[in-house]
Amino acid sequence: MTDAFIKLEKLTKVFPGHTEPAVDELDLCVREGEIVMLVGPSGCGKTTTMKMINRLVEPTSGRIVIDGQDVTGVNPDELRRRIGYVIQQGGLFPHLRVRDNVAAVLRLLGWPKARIDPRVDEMLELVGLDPSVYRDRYPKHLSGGQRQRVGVARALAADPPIMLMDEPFGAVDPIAREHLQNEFLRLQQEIRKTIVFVTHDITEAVKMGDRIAIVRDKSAVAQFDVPARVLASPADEFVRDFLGNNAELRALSLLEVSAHQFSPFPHVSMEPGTTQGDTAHRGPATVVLEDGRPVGWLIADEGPGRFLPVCPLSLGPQTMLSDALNQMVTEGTPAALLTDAAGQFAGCVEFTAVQRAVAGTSAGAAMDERPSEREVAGADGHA
Amino acid sequence: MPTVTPDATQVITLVLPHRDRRRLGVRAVLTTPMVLLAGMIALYLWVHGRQLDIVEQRSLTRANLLEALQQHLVLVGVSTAVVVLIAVPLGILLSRPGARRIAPIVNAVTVAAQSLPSFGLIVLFAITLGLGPRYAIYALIISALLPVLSNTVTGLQQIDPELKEAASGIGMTRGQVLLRVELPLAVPIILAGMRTAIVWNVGTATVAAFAGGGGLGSVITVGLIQNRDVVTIVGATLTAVLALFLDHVARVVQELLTPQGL
Repeated sequence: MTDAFIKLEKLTKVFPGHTEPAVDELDLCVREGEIVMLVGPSGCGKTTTMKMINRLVEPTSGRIVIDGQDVTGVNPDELRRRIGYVIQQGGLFPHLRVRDNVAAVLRLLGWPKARIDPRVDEMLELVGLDPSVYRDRYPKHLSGGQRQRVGVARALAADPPIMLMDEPFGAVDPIAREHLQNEFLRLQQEIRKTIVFVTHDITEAVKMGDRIAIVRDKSAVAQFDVPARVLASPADEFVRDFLGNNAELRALSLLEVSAHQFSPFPHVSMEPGTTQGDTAHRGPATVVLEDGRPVGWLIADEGPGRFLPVCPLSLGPQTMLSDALNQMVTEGTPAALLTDAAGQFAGCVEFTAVQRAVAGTSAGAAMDERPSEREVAGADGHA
Repeated sequence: MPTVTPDATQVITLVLPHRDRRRLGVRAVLTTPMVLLAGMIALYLWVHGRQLDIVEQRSLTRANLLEALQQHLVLVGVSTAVVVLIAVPLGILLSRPGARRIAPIVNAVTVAAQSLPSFGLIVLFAITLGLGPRYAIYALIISALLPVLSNTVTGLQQIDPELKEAASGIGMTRGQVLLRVELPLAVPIILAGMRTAIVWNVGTATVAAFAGGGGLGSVITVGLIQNRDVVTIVGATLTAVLALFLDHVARVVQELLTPQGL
């Protein structure tokens, strides 16, 4: 495991005019290439903590060490140019076009114009915005999600090793937020930045974090661990309260569907174009086309069989047990239908398999042994 | 009716605002000057059609009117320029976090200066300091300071603090935040203050005539003292036209300098 990349030592902030510290002797280590989520109720000091890392808030006492260098006393402006910073709505400058927003840090760093233009386009493509369409727009002509992407592009433009993100997806609607989160996780696989991410949304924390720090009053860390372990064994009453009473359900969104959870079901082969009732099969069966693609279920409890079309999930690192459960509940099928990457039938996951997984989470035993996928990938990357 | 559908989609694509259009069209830029010009022509024809006596003839010569106009422009131009040079930097200083304590005091002083009657001020300066356009300009500066100063402060203060923090957060120095983010965003409001000051000064500068400052005010004064309505009307109309014209020019400049995207 890599050493701490960002190290906060006894970091304290007392705002002028206050007697109580906003952040009290905080110690926190962030490893290279991981996403650490600071999550807690509003007013707990998590944002203040994050802003002390790039010294937007000057610590009253304590030390900030980044990559072995004590940055508590360095020039804050130069420090900030080396740290990507993304806030809610992206914090874009309304009077500048998208390209000038993205180029802002590059100009501060004195990049020559000939290098800036291609870099801006590269960054826009990286965040999924077509440069030829969006380069010359003003922020007011972008949707919330697009603004957020530009904000991320701006923060990444100078390729800083560290990114600080303050509720970056807080101002977009839930669907766009989910989309941005997924895309950002995919992007992170590529860029492997060291990220400190502030949110008040525990679901977001569980989803995005390699580790999550649950923060209470005065930025005291109640628990700092991988999401699965936080969900499985909350350190204390505060964490338990903060997680709410559906921590087990949340844990499902961390558990990948895997082949050993498959249950056998009979297949019914079907030619395209046929409809219900043309088979005498009894009991539920999966309907698979002749080319091997599953298309749904044949439910035949009594009377003629009834065809229930289902859009199958694709088995992969992004498909979690929560998705399987969701399919079962929304489609009303006896099990979730999964395909391999090529769209061929892979298997079915029954409700009992989900139940077993939840039970395993609560016991905590299975999770402790299982390193997160990202950590495994990270270890490979450093080897 | 079904043939409408493809056209409708095309219209929607065209309307999508992918590029800013200037708020000011050619028509908006030209209308005011045309109307003012028409007013001037009407005034000229009206005066031309009248039998003027010797006093009126002497007051309304081209050379006399042009000189008054030129003096008026100098009074307004110099005083507004000095106001901007004082008020904008002062406003910037007052909007800095360090000036939070003295800002209300300075504000109170400028509000007081604003409410001083400029006529009284000009006469007072004439008595204590002497006659001439110079002292009239002092009085104009004092009375026009407030709109520019308060608009500069307001313009800088209304900027979203999160945006300023974002600017610092990506590594801008304080000066860069001011020059690259705060001032561009405050420009429309600062310029609105300057517009107010200009119009204000065109009107107030007529009073400078009482302090030997010249300008269009002297035309009006001659008309009033000698009881020649034509002269008074010409002087007053020229002042009004000048105020409207300068306001219009300032508005066009304001639109041009306002950053796109706002």
